[in-house]
Amino acid sequence: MLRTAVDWVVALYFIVPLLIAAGVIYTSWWQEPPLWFDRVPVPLLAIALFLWSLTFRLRTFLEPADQVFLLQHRSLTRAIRRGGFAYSCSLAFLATALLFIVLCPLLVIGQGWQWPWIPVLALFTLASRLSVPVILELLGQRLAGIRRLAARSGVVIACGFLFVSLWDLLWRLQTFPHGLVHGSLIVVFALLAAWLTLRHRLHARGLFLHEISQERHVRLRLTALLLSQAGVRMSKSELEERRPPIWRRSQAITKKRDKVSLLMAAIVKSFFRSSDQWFFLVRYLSVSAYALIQTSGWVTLIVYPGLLYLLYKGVHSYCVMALKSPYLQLFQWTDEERREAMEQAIFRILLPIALLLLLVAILV
Amino acid sequence: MEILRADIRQAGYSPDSVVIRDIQFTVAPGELIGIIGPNGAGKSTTIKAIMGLIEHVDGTIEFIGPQGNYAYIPEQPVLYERLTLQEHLELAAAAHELSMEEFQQTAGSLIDRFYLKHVIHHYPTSFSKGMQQKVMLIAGFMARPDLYIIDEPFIGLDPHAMKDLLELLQEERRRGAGVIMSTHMLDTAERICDSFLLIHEGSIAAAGGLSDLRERSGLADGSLLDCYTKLCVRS
Repeated sequence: MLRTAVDWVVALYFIVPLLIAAGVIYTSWWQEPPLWFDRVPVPLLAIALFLWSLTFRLRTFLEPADQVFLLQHRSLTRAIRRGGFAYSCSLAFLATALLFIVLCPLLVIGQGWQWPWIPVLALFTLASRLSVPVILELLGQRLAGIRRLAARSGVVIACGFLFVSLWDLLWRLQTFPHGLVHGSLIVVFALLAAWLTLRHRLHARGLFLHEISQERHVRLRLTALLLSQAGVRMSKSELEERRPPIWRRSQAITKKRDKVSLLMAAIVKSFFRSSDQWFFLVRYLSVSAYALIQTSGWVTLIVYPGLLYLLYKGVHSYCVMALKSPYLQLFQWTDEERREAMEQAIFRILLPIALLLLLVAILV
Repeated sequence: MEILRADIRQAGYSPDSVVIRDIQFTVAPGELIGIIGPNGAGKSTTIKAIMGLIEHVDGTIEFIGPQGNYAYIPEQPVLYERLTLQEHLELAAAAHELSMEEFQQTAGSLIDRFYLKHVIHHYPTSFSKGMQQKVMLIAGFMARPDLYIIDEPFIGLDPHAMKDLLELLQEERRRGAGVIMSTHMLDTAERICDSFLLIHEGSIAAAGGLSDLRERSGLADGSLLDCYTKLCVRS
């Protein structure tokens, strides 16, 4: 009952107005193209579309319990996986079609593509979407460590270069007498490559557990994103790395060995070893630096403490979560010890970032 | 002389849901008490009530040993995702207020004993379940407390580690530490426990040594499993 009410509230007050606003903006693009259309070069859009194509994830609909009940029935497992692949491809087709409908004004009015070329471009992007992420996934399963990173980076760069080059070729083919036929041939070959990649992926062996974990990850992606904004981390089945990237030999970060200092050290190390927290810091620093660059004089004096307060709130919520760790519940800590450790940890995390932002504010 | 005196009239996770009731027992120095009972009988709730992890407890729990402390080793390993094994142990040592020398000596010998030296700077979250359980054991045994509260300690341990754990328990008991151990491994419990607390449907179905349980169940030569079956399952 409550859920239905909440759904209705979201639909009425957020989704419906958002759709109406999007429709109005889209119509205005056709009637009066915005000035920024002229500032989007053809290769830039191609790069953006290639990067978007990398976000594709294959669904298999396999669940952990399938290890017990389905693994031995290969025909059933294959049928489920095939269904998952078909679903993923259909979804990718619809997403690409929708994206190109949205991009039509930019492509036709802004960049001067002829109408018959729009489906060609859409199918070309679809082919990239259905093949490159799958190749990256297969490499991720076959290789490990630095070799995996190198191979995947190489594939992204090579495929990206090929995508942009072919996009440029399609652009130039517009002016040729039988350009559309040649362009269509390129797309047919790209789709054929995508089909072969998917076929290889479907028949690849030894990926059952990976597919279960991948499926779980895809299902919980939105939930994890929402929870991460509230400082809650979804537990991972296992960490990819066995040793920490920093303080690799468990070095002490304080000379003191008392309860408060070691509790503080645990929080600080956990924070700086977490890729999620680094991701948060990079985003925060980018936005904060931009805000400081855009302001000057007394406005900076207000913006700077405001930015620090926002960071303090973020770090504070992380520390609160860290102190609620079940491992700490095994031992007896006083509230005073927890509070002191948290204050010291917040200070140590905040200080370098505050100094960096201060440097930006002074230099600008 | 006693280390722990527990008198739980009733306890539960909310005021209107009582999970365990009328559980009284004491632990003497060197005594090993096995808490046994079917799944959902209230064994873990009893342990949590003793440690003060349950809000709604009507009763008194007194730690009256020389140091007045305990070490808890949970059934499921609980670990920080981004701290190494060494850092976990340092944190445990700090919580138990061990000096650097005490920490190095005690943790060093336990790490050697459980063959974890080669992974001392690794994340324990990347370990197997058995290795994670060893981390929990080391963190607990490092403290050398008055009382050990151990929940299902044998799950996931390899035979060698299990033997080491039993030896460690014996050493600590000789030192004077008491142990409360919840387990389903009745053959091992029969061999090592001094007394038992049979919990069934939230209250004590029988308590005492094996001879007391035999007398209570009417099985003069019965094993612990026989007595358990008679007293708990068939009731």
